Amino acid sequence: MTKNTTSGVSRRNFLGALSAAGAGLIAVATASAAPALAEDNLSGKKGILFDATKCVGCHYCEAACKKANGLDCDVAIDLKALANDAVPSGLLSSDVLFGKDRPQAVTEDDRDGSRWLRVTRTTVTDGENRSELNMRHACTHCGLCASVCPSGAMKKRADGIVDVDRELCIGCGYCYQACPFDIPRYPAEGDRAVTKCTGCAGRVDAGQQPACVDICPAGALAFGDRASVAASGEARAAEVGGHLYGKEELGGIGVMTVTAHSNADSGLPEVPKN
Amino acid sequence: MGEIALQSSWGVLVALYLFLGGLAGGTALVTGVVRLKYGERFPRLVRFGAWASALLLICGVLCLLAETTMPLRAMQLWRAFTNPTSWMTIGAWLLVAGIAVFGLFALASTPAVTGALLRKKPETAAKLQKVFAAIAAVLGACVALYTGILIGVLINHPLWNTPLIPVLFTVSAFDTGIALVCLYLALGKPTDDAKEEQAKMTGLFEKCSVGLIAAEAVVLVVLLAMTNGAGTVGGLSVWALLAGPLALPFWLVLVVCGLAAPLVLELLQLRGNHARWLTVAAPALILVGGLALRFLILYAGLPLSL
Repeated sequence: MTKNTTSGVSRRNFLGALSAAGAGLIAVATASAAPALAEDNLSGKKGILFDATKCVGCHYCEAACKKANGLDCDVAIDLKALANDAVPSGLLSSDVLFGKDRPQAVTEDDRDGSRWLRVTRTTVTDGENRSELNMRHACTHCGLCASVCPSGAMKKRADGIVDVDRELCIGCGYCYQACPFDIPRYPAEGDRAVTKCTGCAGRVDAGQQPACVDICPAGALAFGDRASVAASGEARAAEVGGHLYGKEELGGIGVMTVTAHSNADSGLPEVPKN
Repeated sequence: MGEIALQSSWGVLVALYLFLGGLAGGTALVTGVVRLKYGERFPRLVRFGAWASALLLICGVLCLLAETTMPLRAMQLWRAFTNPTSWMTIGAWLLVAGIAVFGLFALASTPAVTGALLRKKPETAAKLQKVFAAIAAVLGACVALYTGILIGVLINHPLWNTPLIPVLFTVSAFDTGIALVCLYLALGKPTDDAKEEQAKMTGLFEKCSVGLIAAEAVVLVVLLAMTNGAGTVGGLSVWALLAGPLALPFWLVLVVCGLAAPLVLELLQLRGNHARWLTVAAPALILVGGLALRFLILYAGLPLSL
């Protein structure tokens, strides 16, 4: 028992301890705020290159994603978009590709978790110039969700793909809060485990490409070792006078994008590079 | 600037947890320190503080559980919290440890319990209480700190992703913890024997409160200034607080009622005015400010994907 300590001394001790605690507090807080992504993001990693300057907006990739992953979403192939110089004429019709699965209408709800991949078309106005921009929205496999997910439902594999084990999800929402690309979703009312693009992990393990890359008739998607994907992305960006997003962002992410427009116009968030 | 959608995927329940977790941690720290510093001279205060910290933390954790979509899975801690790189994993186990230790501290501070279990060994009971007090104080500080770390590590939210958030929440947590104890002292009957010492302790609490409120205000100003300079989304977050949709609660509830008013009232008490309304209003307003702070920071935390 502490007895008879004069209050002056104990107060000084107390205040001293308080300021020491304050210094420790700042140290811990600083350490905790550092991003947990410091790892080699090139060697042994796979990557997808999306070339927005080649995308014609046909939605084939969405349909292939739906089929490969058994998703319950509506996809409408844009046949007019397929009548594009970039698409080899006489390419398989969507009926042949998808059979009776070919759905008709696109739901407007982009928060629908049954859709892992969306392609949107926007008109970008740059002074006098107006141009159409087709943009791909899907998981970039940056791994921020996997670094915060407490249960391991989101898990970054050695090849960089962030896979999902829905059986482990507790629905805390941390992955959603961590994601700068607004990706993780609950698929439907009543199904409250999180879902997102799994990078077609199973197909990749079987030596195949992700379904979206496999199907793209416009050559807007490529898959391979991250280093070579990044190199070809940079070359393509220089060729079209655009830039490559994702090589350095967040220390290097799995899906890189070539765009001729600014990040803001392309709907790409300004995230730290490190 | 037009309308903006505030951060809303974490709502009321998470804001309540951030407040309750901080309050519980701060109360445990203050109570533990009182027990260590003053021995057994404030048994009622210690009993109140220990029970309050345990029960408040349980309420906070229930808020978190209710926020998850799979609470039954989340309760299986060994399965739900396994990823060591996630601060939520560390936090979840910390909260469980906090509830356990605060609860043991509360039981060890309850004469009915110690009387029944350790009637013949009052010294053992006192030693146990002291040990639990020490662990509760340390865990209390950690629980308070974790409320800030939980959102502080999210790169996606410029307002949150700074070490200043854990600092701000911890400072506020200690302040609200002191306020709860002061509120108990102000409202409870002064039946504890050590009246003179209680006056000294209250004086110490008042000084700490003034220091913590001042520190909170400084950290808040630096946080807003830094966030404002950290890109478009950070600027929007600051705008939402200062002049946007959250401006009224920010200025009226947080700045005026939660910081300025209690600072003035605490200073009045330090100058010797111990009118009853003062001793009640000052800590009550600090608690209001602490609650407002958590709501405002949570809702103003706009994501980069905006």
